[in-house]
Amino acid sequence: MIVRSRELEQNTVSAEERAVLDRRAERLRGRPSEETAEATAWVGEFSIGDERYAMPMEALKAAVPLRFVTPVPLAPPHVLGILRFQDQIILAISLASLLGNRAWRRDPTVLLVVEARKGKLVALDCEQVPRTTAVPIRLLQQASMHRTGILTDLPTPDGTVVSLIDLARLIEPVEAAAHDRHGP
Amino acid sequence: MDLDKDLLRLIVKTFGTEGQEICAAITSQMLALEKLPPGDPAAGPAMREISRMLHTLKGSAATAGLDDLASIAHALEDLVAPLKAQPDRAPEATDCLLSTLDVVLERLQAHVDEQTASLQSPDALIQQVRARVAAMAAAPGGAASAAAPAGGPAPTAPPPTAPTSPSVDAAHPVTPTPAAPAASAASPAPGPAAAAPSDSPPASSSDPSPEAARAGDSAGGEQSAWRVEAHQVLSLMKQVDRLREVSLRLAERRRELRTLDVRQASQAALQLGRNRATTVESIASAASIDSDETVDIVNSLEDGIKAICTVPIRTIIDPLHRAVRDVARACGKEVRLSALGTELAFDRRALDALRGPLLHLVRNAVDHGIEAPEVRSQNGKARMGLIAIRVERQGNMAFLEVEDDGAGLDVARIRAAAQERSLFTSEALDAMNPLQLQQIVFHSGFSTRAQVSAISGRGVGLDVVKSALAKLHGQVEIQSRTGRGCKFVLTLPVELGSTPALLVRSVDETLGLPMLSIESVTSVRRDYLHRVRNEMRLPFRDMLIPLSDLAALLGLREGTVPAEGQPAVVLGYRGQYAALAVDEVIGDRELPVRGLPSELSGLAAYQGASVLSRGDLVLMLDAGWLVDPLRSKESRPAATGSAVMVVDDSLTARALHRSTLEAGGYQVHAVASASQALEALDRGSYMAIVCDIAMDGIDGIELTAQLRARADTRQLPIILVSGREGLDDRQRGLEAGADGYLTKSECAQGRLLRELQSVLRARSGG
Repeated sequence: MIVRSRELEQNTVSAEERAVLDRRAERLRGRPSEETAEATAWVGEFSIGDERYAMPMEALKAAVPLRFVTPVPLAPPHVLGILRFQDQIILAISLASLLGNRAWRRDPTVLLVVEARKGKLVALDCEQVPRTTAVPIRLLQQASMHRTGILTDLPTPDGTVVSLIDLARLIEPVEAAAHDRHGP
Repeated sequence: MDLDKDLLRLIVKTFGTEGQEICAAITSQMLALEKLPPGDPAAGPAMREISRMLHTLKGSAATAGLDDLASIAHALEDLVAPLKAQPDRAPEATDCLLSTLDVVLERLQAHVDEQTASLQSPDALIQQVRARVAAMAAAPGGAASAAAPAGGPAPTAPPPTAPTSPSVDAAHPVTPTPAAPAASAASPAPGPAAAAPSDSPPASSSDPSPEAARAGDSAGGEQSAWRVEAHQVLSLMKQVDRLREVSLRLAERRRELRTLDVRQASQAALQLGRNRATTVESIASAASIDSDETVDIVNSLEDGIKAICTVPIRTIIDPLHRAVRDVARACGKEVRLSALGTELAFDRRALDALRGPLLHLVRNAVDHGIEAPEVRSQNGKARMGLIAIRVERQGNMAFLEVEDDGAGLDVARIRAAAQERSLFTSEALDAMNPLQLQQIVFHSGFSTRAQVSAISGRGVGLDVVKSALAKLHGQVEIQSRTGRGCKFVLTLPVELGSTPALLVRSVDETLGLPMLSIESVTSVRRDYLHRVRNEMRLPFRDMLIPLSDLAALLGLREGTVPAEGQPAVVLGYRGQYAALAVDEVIGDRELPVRGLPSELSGLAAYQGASVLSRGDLVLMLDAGWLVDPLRSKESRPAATGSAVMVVDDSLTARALHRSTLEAGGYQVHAVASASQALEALDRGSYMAIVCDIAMDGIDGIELTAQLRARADTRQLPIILVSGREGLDDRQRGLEAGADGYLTKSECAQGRLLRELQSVLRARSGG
């Protein structure tokens, strides 16, 4: 590392460069902007076909290889099968099928084990491990206030919009179908 | 402070279990007492036992700070006290005692749940009990008046209300002989005259303190039992299952080591040097010893856990005596309940789930099945009706029969009620045979009662039984004989512990068959097979039993006549037999069966799933479903050539294609490779094929070329699907003979159905 005295440095920096450095220093000394100080939460972002989706990272418990799934013949089409996770047998569901998509862009190779509701683990197929994105909590709260179905529009810091998945609502039809099979 | 609260909460919770047990025991004794003939020598000791239990209830309630319950128990002691000398008068107190115990149980639960805000003062109830005591004292017989001190009320003052001093009671001075109640209960039954002076109300005033009563109980050994939370035991059981799986893995490693042949061993010896080879041998030997020891530990643990987790079924059957008595009284009928096999122990969880269904069946039998006494007399039957419960266990299955000797199901009435309640159309009812009409009783909303009563008429009942059994992977059957009675047979798997299973392979699925249902394993000889009404039959003993392809039953491929030499497993279950052709018999295993996720528990085809030695899951098939003739009609494979085959090595792609095509009304068989597709096409024909291009081994284009070279598949419509957007795959696919080509993006846009319809139209010349 080269260490220079302040005097020497001042002598080797042009006036124009000095102005830029001063503005930068001023900005750094100033109070942080509202945007950078805002509390954020992590969401996992991924694609299905051409659509972008997200889910709260706190719901994501693990990503496991898809090959661990045991198919269940005669199960409904949205059921990929069952797998063992932390000594439980849990259901693997086709996320694309539940969301009404008809194909992935690439064949999924991983399953995301998520806690759809408190204590309710299910595995969802995914093209890749989701990319984590920080989203202002304010936006998440706004999205949750306007939530009407499984998906809610969520603006991201890069200016795009992703569909935030309500995992509890996502598995409601799966549970309802099981209830129908049981009868009242 | 919090610690105190937690401690108090724990004490109340513990007392909750104890209180329930005491109430159940008193009820049972009181009902037994009611049935004894006058003068029976067993009545005196029974009455004293009831008195002792009430005393324990009072003492324990006071210790737990539940003064309301202590006061009620005290009043009940007063009710029972004169009966110790005159046990023949017990029926006079039975109704009051039982109904008061019901309230005790309700209040007890409220205390355990910490929902006491809505509880009313127990004073009114206590007054009712005292009124009963007074009425009994005033009634002819004079025993109570002899027992009560002259000029004083029969009941004594209630126990203390201050929770901090449960043993201090001016009216009930503490007796410094804590063993007195136990000694009293254990002593030979004294005659009524001898018992009266010491056991009657004057003795009540010298009752020992609650602590003394509890000490007496401890001395009697009853408290030597531990109360363990269910979740703690279940957690332990899970660990046993895990240990079982580890032992299975160890056994598998041992098998793998043994499969090394001598030549490999000698080569290893040359390469590794004799010392290292000896080391490998010693590791194998040690692994073998460890494996054996693990199996021993697992077996011992499993036996121990089973002993903790199972309870005799009488714990849920004994309370039914009370239900039968109450409903029979309400209906003006005379009914006796008899139970056989109640000493058999089952998983507590299964018994908890069975409690409601059994109660429904028994109440239903009294209310609907058993006739009124005069009607029974007219029909030449005993005035008193009988409900018999028989419990039997065969291997991993439990059978419970609830049979009554009443009138049997009235099919005409069932039909009329179903029509009146608009459960079925007249046409549908006309098409039903008597057995199908009987099944209507399990329909939600069905009841033959026009009026709602406290017992029935709400249309809730037997449908609850059926759905409860379905959740337990069990089933319920009806056997009714007009005028002679009706029998409900409940069948359910006993889930606890491991169960022997035969592993088989169908297509690429490994599946487990319950060993207890397997009659034999054989090889198919086609010249021995018979075709009956378009179904294959296999000679077995002196029967021709249905022979099905297991893969076809599970929708994995189209069903055809099994190949010569193909393995077939003959299953027998509850008198029904069926043979299943499988692709391979892998071998037998001892596997712990776990329930499927709740979303799949309605799939009748499976008992559950087990973990194999490598940690992967295997589905355990349900024998009842496999041999059920009604099931085989429902799930009979569609005519050959009516299904679309999806070929894709991606599980998710297969699921999505299947979802799309089934939504379009097509039946779908999905396979994971081109070789499986060729095997399936050797066995049957298909309407069309949707095939991925990029697959390991034979890819989609090569498969297309092979199919076009075969005479039987030359005209078969084929659609290729590719993840790549370029023109190369499309060109190559079409040149190989494919009828259509889609990219996955096009599939995502919903074009698969349209493409299939278009290709089918083009092939048919439309």
